[in-house]
Amino acid sequence: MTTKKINQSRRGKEDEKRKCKWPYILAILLLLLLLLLLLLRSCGNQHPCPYPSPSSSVPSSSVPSLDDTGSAKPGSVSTPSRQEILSRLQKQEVTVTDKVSAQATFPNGSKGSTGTWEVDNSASNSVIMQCEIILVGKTVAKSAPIYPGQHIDGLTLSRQVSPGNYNVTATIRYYGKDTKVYLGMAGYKIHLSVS
Amino acid sequence: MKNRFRRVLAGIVTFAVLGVSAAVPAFAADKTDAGTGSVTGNVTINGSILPLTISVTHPINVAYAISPDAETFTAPDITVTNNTKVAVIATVESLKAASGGSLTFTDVDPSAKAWRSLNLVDSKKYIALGISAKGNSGWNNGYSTSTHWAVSDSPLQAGTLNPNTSGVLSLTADYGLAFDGAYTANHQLVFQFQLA
Repeated sequence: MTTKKINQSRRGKEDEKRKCKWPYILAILLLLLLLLLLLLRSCGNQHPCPYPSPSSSVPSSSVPSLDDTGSAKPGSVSTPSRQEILSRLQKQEVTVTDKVSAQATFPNGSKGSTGTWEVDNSASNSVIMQCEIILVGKTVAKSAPIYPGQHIDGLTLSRQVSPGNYNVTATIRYYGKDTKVYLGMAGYKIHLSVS
Repeated sequence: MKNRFRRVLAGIVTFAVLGVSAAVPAFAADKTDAGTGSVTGNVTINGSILPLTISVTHPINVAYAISPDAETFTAPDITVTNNTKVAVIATVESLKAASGGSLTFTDVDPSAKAWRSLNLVDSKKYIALGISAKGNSGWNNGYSTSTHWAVSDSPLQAGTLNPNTSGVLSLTADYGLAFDGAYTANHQLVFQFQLA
């Protein structure tokens, strides 16, 4: 009987103890939650968003204020007119005048044979010219560089060509007078005569 | 006295005429023909003809500008002038994207892309650039009205130009709009000229 009473009083004490612990546990949990929130906030500040909110640059406690120094230009951004764009593009354009003899003549088709062919690089041009005669995809003669105000009246065969008359392409490559950078090329259909 | 003088003068003139007529054949031909009746003489005339000079004034580079906000493509006209004594045929041998700018485009057919929907990568990669002869600009009748697109490998015979005449070609393009900066791009245009 006494044992029962003792056990009952023990249980009562334990229940009381349990009831007494709950507020502490709740307080601890709240504290932990608060700490977690603070931790998350501090992490957020360490890794700012690439598109920050308008208030992110100022302390959370203060209202953003305008930095009213300097001045912007009035009106909208003006885009260049078509005429302005055209004028700028035209300045970049390089125009040349070619003067090419319609026939190249060689006394024989041996490699090293010197023939007649006239090309004139006008003094008004701003490019260096270099010419080649191409027969069936292969270069058979190549000129020296022709500077503005210079001309050539002959060429040397760089490979053997059988005697005959051919329709060939003469190419002119253009290089910058000062930079010597390749700018472009043109082709002329001419007649090649090898005796 | 007068009569005697006249006879002497007439004699001198006769000798002079005979002398000249005898001397002329020596200058006229190397061959002496002889015979009765009519006499036929062959005279060879040697001609020496120099080749003509083909002269053309033309641009060697092409510049253009794309304004994505305005959705405009701007390029100056390409003028070709024939300075040769006879007509000249102008052919667009090739038009190809070239390196040298901050972008090097890949030429494609205009129908190959939905141009206004191209993203950033594809806008900076693809372009459809074309060239065509402009009407009423100096080209002789029969000039090509078709557009040569850069993606095409076959040349385009633009047209024929009379002496001292200029013909104009113009560029056209289809392009994307997503450009995140200012870029430059180059294309190489190669003409071929020949006597008409």
